[in-house]
Amino acid sequence: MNLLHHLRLGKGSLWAILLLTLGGALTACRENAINDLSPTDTPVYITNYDRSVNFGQYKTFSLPDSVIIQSNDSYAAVKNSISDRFVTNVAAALTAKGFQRVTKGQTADLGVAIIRVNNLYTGIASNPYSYYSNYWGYGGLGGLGGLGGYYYPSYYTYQVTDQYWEIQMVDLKNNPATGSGQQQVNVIYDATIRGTDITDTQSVDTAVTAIFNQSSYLQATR
Amino acid sequence: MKRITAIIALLCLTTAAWAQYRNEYESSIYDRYVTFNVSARYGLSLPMGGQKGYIDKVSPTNFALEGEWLFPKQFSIGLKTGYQYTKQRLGRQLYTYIDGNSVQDISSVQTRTLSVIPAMVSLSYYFADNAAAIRPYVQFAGGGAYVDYTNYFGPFADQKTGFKGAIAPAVGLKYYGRREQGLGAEIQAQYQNIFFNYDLLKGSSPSLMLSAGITYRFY
Repeated sequence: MNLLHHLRLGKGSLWAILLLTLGGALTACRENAINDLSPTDTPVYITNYDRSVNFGQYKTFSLPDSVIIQSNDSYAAVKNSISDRFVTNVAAALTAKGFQRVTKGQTADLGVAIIRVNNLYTGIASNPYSYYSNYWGYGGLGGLGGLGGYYYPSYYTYQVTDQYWEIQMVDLKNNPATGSGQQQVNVIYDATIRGTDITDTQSVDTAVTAIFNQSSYLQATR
Repeated sequence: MKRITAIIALLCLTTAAWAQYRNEYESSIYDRYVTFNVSARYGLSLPMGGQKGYIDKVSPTNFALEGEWLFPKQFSIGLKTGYQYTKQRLGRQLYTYIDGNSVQDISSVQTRTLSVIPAMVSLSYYFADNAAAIRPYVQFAGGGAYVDYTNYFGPFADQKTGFKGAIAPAVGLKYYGRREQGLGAEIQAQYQNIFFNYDLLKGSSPSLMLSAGITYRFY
């Protein structure tokens, strides 16, 4: 009975149904575009460097045994199997490129830091429905649909986490002193591993290999 | 031999007379009033020129919807929309961006997508009367299109959307089987330009869409 009624609605509604179907298809296609990304295709390796710097001038580097956990504005050092793997691999990669690692406390040309960034952002947003319901005096959705006096809050908060690994290099050889006598160091190289969280040592190997392979300019003159 | 010639001559004459009779006394409603035609087609889209720099692959996901007002003098004014989607995944590559002295290298697997919803007004001229069984036509459509350019670097999206001007000249053929019949089939070749340019998508994203589907005329 219902079906017959629909069929009698005429050509206008047929168009509307077709358009709605198309609208649905639109949102479907793009949102599924990366659902089939494999774990090896997911990571994004980003490296930044200053091309005015001649990396051949550096001979030694200093690398702490632990990894820095950066969480918004606070820092802490951590040492576990993943961080150990990072330190070992980065040290090996830099040594292979002709740089020499110095022991703790000795001066070096390059300072290398491995950082685990763990940022958490809190945002605030307003709920537009709340405004309208108060404006028209309905007192939220509860007044309309009889949902038992449920009110949407006018504002709500949301949180976004941003987690990734970062390798930074600072220039310790040419560190100009600022006017106040403080020492200032320049970051000349920075690599981040995004898109995936590293949870096993094998991913560490893959990531560090990828990063140093795409950084051919990191080369000490022998 | 003489007899065959006579039969052919007679056939020609009667056909001519019949045709004239039809024109005078049985002219179709399609030729006297404004009537309607709707079409739904599925198509393949071939990227051309500037669009190849973004996605260089034939897209199998395209749909077109068209509604027309048929005017007695073999022309029509219509509205056309639809949905076009194309996607291409590239293997892991290094993309380099230089800004002054700072150089950024991004190693990622790119998934490039482009979605288009056109909203255009069309003007068509048909090379046959409105009730004919076979109706070839030429068309020019203009208007706008909603474009969604999303280039994924791994799971991260570089997205740009917008409603931009668009033009689409086309040629096609509607085939109804016999005179006056409502339901028919249609094929169309349409060249499309959307004035949307962003990053890798250049030259007003030209494409050629070959589509086939059903068409229906009514009053």
